[in-house]
Amino acid sequence: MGGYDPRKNIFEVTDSRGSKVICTEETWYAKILGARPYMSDWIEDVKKAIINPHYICRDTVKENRYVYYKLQKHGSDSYLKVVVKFDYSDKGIVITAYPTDSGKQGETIIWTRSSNS
Amino acid sequence: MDEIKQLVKTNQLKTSFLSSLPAGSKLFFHFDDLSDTLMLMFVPLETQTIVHYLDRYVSILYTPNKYEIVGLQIEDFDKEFVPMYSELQKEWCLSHFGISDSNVWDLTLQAKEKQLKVAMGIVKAKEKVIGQPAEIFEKALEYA
Repeated sequence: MGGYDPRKNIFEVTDSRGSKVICTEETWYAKILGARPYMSDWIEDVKKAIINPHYICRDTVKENRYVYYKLQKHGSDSYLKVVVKFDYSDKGIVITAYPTDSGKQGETIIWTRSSNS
Repeated sequence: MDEIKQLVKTNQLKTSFLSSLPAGSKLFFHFDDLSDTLMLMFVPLETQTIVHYLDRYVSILYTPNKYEIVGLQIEDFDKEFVPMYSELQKEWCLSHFGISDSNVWDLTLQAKEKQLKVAMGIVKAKEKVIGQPAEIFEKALEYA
Protein backbone atom coordinates (compact mmCIF):
# COMPACT_ATOMS: atom_id res chain seq x y z
CA MET A 1 0.00 0.00 0.00
CA GLY A 2 2.90 2.38 0.69
CA GLY A 3 4.55 2.23 -2.75
CA TYR A 4 1.95 3.87 -4.95
CA ASP A 5 2.61 6.61 -7.46
CA PRO A 6 0.17 9.48 -6.80
CA ARG A 7 0.41 10.63 -10.45
CA LYS A 8 -0.53 7.27 -11.90
CA ASN A 9 -4.03 6.06 -12.65
CA ILE A 10 -4.95 2.70 -11.21
CA PHE A 11 -7.68 2.40 -13.85
CA GLU A 12 -9.37 4.23 -16.68
CA VAL A 13 -12.78 3.07 -17.87
CA THR A 14 -15.66 4.32 -19.99
CA ASP A 15 -18.98 4.71 -18.19
CA SER A 16 -22.35 3.56 -19.49
CA ARG A 17 -22.92 7.00 -21.09
CA GLY A 18 -19.59 7.00 -22.94
CA SER A 19 -17.62 9.30 -20.61
CA LYS A 20 -14.06 8.51 -19.53
CA VAL A 21 -13.55 7.99 -15.79
CA ILE A 22 -10.20 7.60 -14.08
CA CYS A 23 -9.14 6.64 -10.57
CA THR A 24 -5.68 7.62 -9.36
CA GLU A 25 -3.52 5.32 -7.28
CA GLU A 26 -3.54 7.96 -4.55
CA THR A 27 -7.35 8.01 -4.39
CA TRP A 28 -7.55 4.23 -4.41
CA TYR A 29 -4.85 3.50 -1.83
CA ALA A 30 -4.83 6.58 0.41
CA LYS A 31 -8.47 7.65 0.28
CA ILE A 32 -10.71 4.69 -0.51
CA LEU A 33 -8.65 1.94 1.16
CA GLY A 34 -7.50 4.41 3.82
CA ALA A 35 -11.12 4.66 4.97
CA ARG A 36 -12.18 1.11 4.10
CA PRO A 37 -9.27 -1.36 4.00
CA TYR A 38 -11.75 -4.24 3.50
CA MET A 39 -12.32 -3.00 -0.08
CA SER A 40 -8.80 -4.00 -1.14
CA ASP A 41 -10.11 -6.68 -3.51
CA TRP A 42 -13.08 -4.63 -4.74
CA ILE A 43 -11.32 -2.77 -7.55
CA GLU A 44 -13.05 -4.79 -10.27
CA ASP A 45 -16.39 -4.15 -8.55
CA VAL A 46 -15.71 -0.41 -8.57
CA LYS A 47 -14.84 -0.51 -12.28
CA LYS A 48 -17.99 -2.53 -13.01
CA ALA A 49 -20.11 -0.06 -11.06
CA ILE A 50 -18.93 2.71 -13.42
CA ILE A 51 -19.07 0.67 -16.63
CA ASN A 52 -22.38 -1.05 -15.98
CA PRO A 53 -24.26 0.62 -13.09
CA HIS A 54 -27.91 0.16 -12.20
CA TYR A 55 -28.33 3.90 -11.65
CA ILE A 56 -26.42 7.10 -12.27
CA CYS A 57 -27.45 10.11 -10.18
CA ARG A 58 -26.46 13.74 -10.24
CA ASP A 59 -25.85 15.68 -7.06
CA THR A 60 -28.35 18.54 -7.08
CA VAL A 61 -25.98 20.87 -5.23
CA LYS A 62 -22.61 19.88 -6.67
CA GLU A 63 -23.67 19.64 -10.28
CA ASN A 64 -20.35 18.28 -11.56
CA ARG A 65 -20.66 15.23 -9.26
CA TYR A 66 -22.17 12.05 -10.60
CA VAL A 67 -22.88 9.04 -8.48
CA TYR A 68 -22.92 5.47 -9.78
CA TYR A 69 -24.88 2.76 -7.98
CA LYS A 70 -24.56 -0.96 -8.67
CA LEU A 71 -26.32 -3.70 -6.73
CA GLN A 72 -23.87 -6.16 -5.23
CA LYS A 73 -23.60 -8.92 -2.67
CA HIS A 74 -20.71 -8.56 -0.23
CA GLY A 75 -22.05 -10.01 3.02
CA SER A 76 -25.59 -8.87 2.24
CA ASP A 77 -27.33 -6.95 -0.53
CA SER A 78 -26.14 -3.40 -0.95
CA TYR A 79 -25.27 -0.89 -3.63
CA LEU A 80 -21.68 -0.13 -4.40
CA LYS A 81 -21.68 3.66 -4.67
CA VAL A 82 -18.94 5.43 -6.63
CA VAL A 83 -18.73 9.23 -6.55
CA VAL A 84 -17.14 10.81 -9.62
CA LYS A 85 -16.30 14.46 -10.21
CA PHE A 86 -16.38 15.62 -13.84
CA ASP A 87 -14.39 18.48 -15.32
CA TYR A 88 -15.34 20.63 -18.31
CA SER A 89 -13.76 18.18 -20.76
CA ASP A 90 -16.24 15.52 -19.60
CA LYS A 91 -13.53 13.45 -17.94
CA GLY A 92 -14.42 12.05 -14.55
CA ILE A 93 -12.22 11.41 -11.53
CA VAL A 94 -13.25 8.99 -8.80
CA ILE A 95 -13.48 10.70 -5.41
CA THR A 96 -14.74 7.92 -3.20
CA ALA A 97 -16.54 4.57 -3.20
CA TYR A 98 -18.37 2.59 -0.52
CA PRO A 99 -21.33 0.27 0.05
CA THR A 100 -24.71 1.78 0.89
CA ASP A 101 -28.28 0.52 1.13
CA SER A 102 -30.04 3.42 -0.62
CA GLY A 103 -29.68 6.58 -2.64
CA LYS A 104 -29.03 9.87 -0.88
CA GLN A 105 -31.30 12.85 -0.38
CA GLY A 106 -30.33 15.54 -2.89
CA GLU A 107 -29.42 13.17 -5.70
CA THR A 108 -31.48 12.93 -8.89
CA ILE A 109 -31.46 9.84 -11.08
CA ILE A 110 -30.36 10.75 -14.60
CA TRP A 111 -29.76 7.29 -16.04
CA THR A 112 -31.04 3.81 -15.25
CA ARG A 113 -29.99 0.48 -16.67
CA SER A 114 -33.62 -0.59 -17.14
CA SER A 115 -34.42 2.38 -19.40
CA ASN A 116 -31.21 2.01 -21.42
CA SER A 117 -31.07 -1.73 -22.06
CA MET B 1 -37.66 8.27 -13.52
CA ASP B 2 -37.24 5.35 -11.09
CA GLU B 3 -36.28 5.69 -7.45
CA ILE B 4 -33.39 3.82 -5.94
CA LYS B 5 -34.99 1.13 -3.81
CA GLN B 6 -34.05 1.31 -0.14
CA LEU B 7 -32.75 -2.15 0.77
CA VAL B 8 -32.77 -1.80 4.57
CA LYS B 9 -35.13 0.27 6.72
CA THR B 10 -33.88 2.24 9.72
CA ASN B 11 -35.98 0.17 12.14
CA GLN B 12 -34.16 -2.99 11.02
CA LEU B 13 -30.89 -1.66 12.44
CA LYS B 14 -29.85 -2.85 15.90
CA THR B 15 -28.20 -1.13 18.84
CA SER B 16 -27.19 -4.19 20.89
CA PHE B 17 -23.50 -3.77 20.02
CA LEU B 18 -23.46 -0.07 20.94
CA SER B 19 -25.40 -0.69 24.16
CA SER B 20 -22.99 -3.36 25.31
CA LEU B 21 -19.76 -1.47 24.63
CA PRO B 22 -17.47 -1.64 27.66
CA ALA B 23 -16.17 1.57 29.26
CA GLY B 24 -13.04 2.82 27.53
CA SER B 25 -13.98 1.44 24.11
CA LYS B 26 -11.89 2.98 21.38
CA LEU B 27 -13.44 5.45 18.94
CA PHE B 28 -11.96 5.17 15.45
CA PHE B 29 -11.93 8.57 13.80
CA HIS B 30 -11.22 8.99 10.08
CA PHE B 31 -11.44 12.16 7.98
CA ASP B 32 -11.00 12.11 4.20
CA ASP B 33 -10.37 15.61 2.84
CA LEU B 34 -10.95 14.63 -0.81
CA SER B 35 -14.53 13.51 -0.29
CA ASP B 36 -14.92 15.72 2.82
CA THR B 37 -16.22 12.76 4.80
CA LEU B 38 -15.83 11.99 8.49
CA MET B 39 -16.26 8.48 9.86
CA LEU B 40 -16.70 7.73 13.58
CA MET B 41 -16.79 4.08 14.50
CA PHE B 42 -16.52 1.84 17.54
CA VAL B 43 -14.95 -0.89 15.40
CA PRO B 44 -11.69 -0.73 13.40
CA LEU B 45 -11.86 0.57 9.83
CA GLU B 46 -11.12 -2.97 8.61
CA THR B 47 -14.65 -3.98 9.63
CA GLN B 48 -17.00 -3.98 6.66
CA THR B 49 -19.84 -1.52 7.10
CA ILE B 50 -22.78 -0.30 5.03
CA VAL B 51 -23.85 3.33 4.85
CA HIS B 52 -27.49 3.98 5.77
CA TYR B 53 -28.49 7.56 4.97
CA LEU B 54 -30.55 9.52 7.47
CA ASP B 55 -30.34 12.84 5.63
CA ARG B 56 -28.08 14.63 3.16
CA TYR B 57 -25.21 14.74 5.66
CA VAL B 58 -25.57 12.06 8.29
CA SER B 59 -25.63 8.31 7.89
CA ILE B 60 -25.40 5.32 10.18
CA LEU B 61 -22.69 2.72 9.60
CA TYR B 62 -23.81 -0.84 10.29
CA THR B 63 -22.40 -4.33 9.82
CA PRO B 64 -23.85 -6.16 6.81
CA ASN B 65 -24.68 -9.49 8.42
CA LYS B 66 -26.04 -8.57 11.82
CA TYR B 67 -27.28 -5.05 11.01
CA GLU B 68 -25.57 -3.77 14.16
CA ILE B 69 -24.96 -0.02 14.29
CA VAL B 70 -21.24 0.61 14.81
CA GLY B 71 -20.74 4.24 13.83
CA LEU B 72 -21.67 7.37 11.92
CA GLN B 73 -20.56 8.94 8.65
CA ILE B 74 -20.92 12.65 7.92
CA GLU B 75 -20.55 13.90 4.36
CA ASP B 76 -19.64 17.43 3.26
CA PHE B 77 -18.37 17.64 6.80
CA ASP B 78 -15.78 20.42 6.83
CA LYS B 79 -17.27 22.63 4.09
CA GLU B 80 -20.99 22.45 4.90
CA PHE B 81 -21.85 20.52 8.07
CA VAL B 82 -19.46 22.09 10.59
CA PRO B 83 -20.28 25.73 9.62
CA MET B 84 -23.95 25.04 10.47
CA TYR B 85 -23.16 24.34 14.14
CA SER B 86 -21.21 26.92 16.10
CA GLU B 87 -20.41 24.58 19.01
CA LEU B 88 -18.99 22.01 16.64
CA GLN B 89 -17.03 24.68 14.81
CA LYS B 90 -15.14 25.45 18.02
CA GLU B 91 -14.08 21.85 18.45
CA TRP B 92 -13.32 21.11 14.84
CA CYS B 93 -10.05 22.59 13.78
CA LEU B 94 -7.92 20.35 11.64
CA SER B 95 -4.74 22.16 12.60
CA HIS B 96 -5.22 21.11 16.21
CA PHE B 97 -5.13 17.49 15.16
CA GLY B 98 -1.62 17.86 13.77
CA ILE B 99 1.67 17.74 15.60
CA SER B 100 2.74 21.10 16.88
CA ASP B 101 4.24 20.12 20.19
CA SER B 102 7.10 17.93 21.29
CA ASN B 103 5.10 16.10 23.95
CA VAL B 104 3.58 13.33 21.84
CA TRP B 105 1.76 11.72 24.77
CA ASP B 106 -0.06 14.95 25.63
CA LEU B 107 -0.87 15.45 21.97
CA THR B 108 -2.35 11.97 21.68
CA LEU B 109 -4.53 12.64 24.70
CA GLN B 110 -5.50 16.06 23.36
CA ALA B 111 -6.38 14.62 19.96
CA LYS B 112 -8.48 11.86 21.51
CA GLU B 113 -10.29 14.35 23.72
CA LYS B 114 -10.99 16.58 20.74
CA GLN B 115 -12.21 13.69 18.63
CA LEU B 116 -14.64 12.69 21.37
CA LYS B 117 -15.89 16.28 21.66
CA VAL B 118 -16.38 16.49 17.90
CA ALA B 119 -18.20 13.15 17.92
CA MET B 120 -20.43 14.25 20.80
CA GLY B 121 -21.07 17.57 19.03
CA ILE B 122 -22.24 15.75 15.91
CA VAL B 123 -24.55 13.41 17.83
CA LYS B 124 -26.06 16.31 19.79
CA ALA B 125 -26.50 18.42 16.65
CA LYS B 126 -28.30 15.59 14.88
CA GLU B 127 -30.13 13.97 17.82
CA LYS B 128 -33.52 14.19 16.11
CA VAL B 129 -32.28 12.76 12.82
CA ILE B 130 -30.36 9.91 14.46
CA GLY B 131 -33.34 9.10 16.68
CA GLN B 132 -33.21 6.50 19.45
CA PRO B 133 -29.60 5.40 18.75
CA ALA B 134 -28.42 8.98 19.52
CA GLU B 135 -28.84 8.42 23.25
CA ILE B 136 -26.88 5.17 23.06
CA PHE B 137 -24.15 6.88 21.02
CA GLU B 138 -23.90 9.61 23.63
CA LYS B 139 -23.50 7.07 26.45
CA ALA B 140 -20.86 5.15 24.47
CA LEU B 141 -18.96 8.39 23.81
CA GLU B 142 -19.14 9.45 27.47
CA TYR B 143 -17.36 6.27 28.49
CA ALA B 144 -14.99 6.03 25.50
